Amino acid sequence: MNWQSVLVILFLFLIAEAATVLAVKRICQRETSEKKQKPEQAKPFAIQRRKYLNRAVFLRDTKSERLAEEAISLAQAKTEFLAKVSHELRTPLTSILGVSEMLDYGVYGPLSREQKDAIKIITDCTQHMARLVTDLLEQSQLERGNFKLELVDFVLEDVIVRLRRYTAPIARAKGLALQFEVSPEVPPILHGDAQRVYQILHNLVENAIKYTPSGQVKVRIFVKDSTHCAIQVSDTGIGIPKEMQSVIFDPFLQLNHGGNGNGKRNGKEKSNGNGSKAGHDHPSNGFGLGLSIVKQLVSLMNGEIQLTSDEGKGSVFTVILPILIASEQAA
Amino acid sequence: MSSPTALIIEDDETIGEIFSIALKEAQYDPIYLRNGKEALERLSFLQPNLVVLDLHLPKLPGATILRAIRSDTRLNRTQVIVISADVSLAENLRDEADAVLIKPVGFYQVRDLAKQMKIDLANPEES
Repeated sequence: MNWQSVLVILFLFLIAEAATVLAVKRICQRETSEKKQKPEQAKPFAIQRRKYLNRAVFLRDTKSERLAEEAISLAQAKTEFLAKVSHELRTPLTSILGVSEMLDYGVYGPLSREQKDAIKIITDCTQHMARLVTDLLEQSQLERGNFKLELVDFVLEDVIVRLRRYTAPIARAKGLALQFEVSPEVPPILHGDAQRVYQILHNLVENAIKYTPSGQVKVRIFVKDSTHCAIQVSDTGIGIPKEMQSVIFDPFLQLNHGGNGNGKRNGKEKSNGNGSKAGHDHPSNGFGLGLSIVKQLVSLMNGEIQLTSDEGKGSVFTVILPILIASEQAA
Repeated sequence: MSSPTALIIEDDETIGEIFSIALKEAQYDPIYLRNGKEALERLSFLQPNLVVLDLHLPKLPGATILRAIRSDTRLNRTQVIVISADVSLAENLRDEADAVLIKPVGFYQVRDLAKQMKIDLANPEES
């Protein structure tokens, strides 16, 4: 359960508590007033009060349970609503993004520098919004208590091919070298949730490319111990300040640090469809969910994530996951 | 030498046009269809190199078309890119499709992926 849901439940508990206290207080006031007016009726009323108190406690308990259930139901409804809204936003966003990029590409004729700049703002903002929608949906899916991993045997090479397919064009467009290195001791078949392993890799590589103005992004996969594999994504990018490294995985966090004015490490800000360099700063840089989602997924898989980073030199994210098959290791 | 053929099956006309132009830029010869039933009929005699497939389609769902392609040996070299706004449905088809993109996708992304897939098909050992 996330912190918002906890807050909602606490809030509802407080309301229930306050209502009970008020009810009891009113009874006490009535009792005092009755005592003053009709002392002979004090005893029956005391019995009535005790009954009421017992009932109030009972009502408070059942009401709390009901409110808690309602809060959980509300949280689920919120997640479903978010998923629906995300889904409905995706189609018009595709049209906006596609047409803007076609204009930028010159499909409808040559554009002046100013017109191209204006189009760039539209594509950047659309990409930004698309990323927000995606992050929100992923976060809402993670927030669902019934999130389940699908543990299967999977071919590591398939994951790498897919990752290369989607990220290589983005790195190429930025002039970055993107390298993949799988140590020979890593077995070809691993065991885990292939889609979530891919998502972790994708988010880390996408993040690395985004914050690396020049140089390279490298993905290394190697055996850590008899049951764990390490996935390491390193870059020669802008790095993360020391004071921010402890909070970099927090959800809804946006970091700012100086240099090129593009230092939001885990914010999901501007980037156009072909991955070329961002052109315009936005006042907001997303919900800061990319790395948070990675951390939540790693945690769900009983893994761990480590970060080392030097500002101005680059970062290394290392994810350790229990995805080795025991029998493979014995061989 | 003629260009490879790409079949675009997408009910939103604007998006269909975007994908058509993106695939032209990727050196494909695109054919655009708006409903699933017509697409399935065309696939009975066409052998496209690439199919760009939406999932929520009128008359016949995209998932049915994907399964029809995968069960037709005549189309065993046809690559399929699923592009949908339905995340969970699209994710379920990841094993059957060659690539899955979740909307929103842009003109450049579709163009670059189609180019990359052509390279992968030509050089399978490098992919």
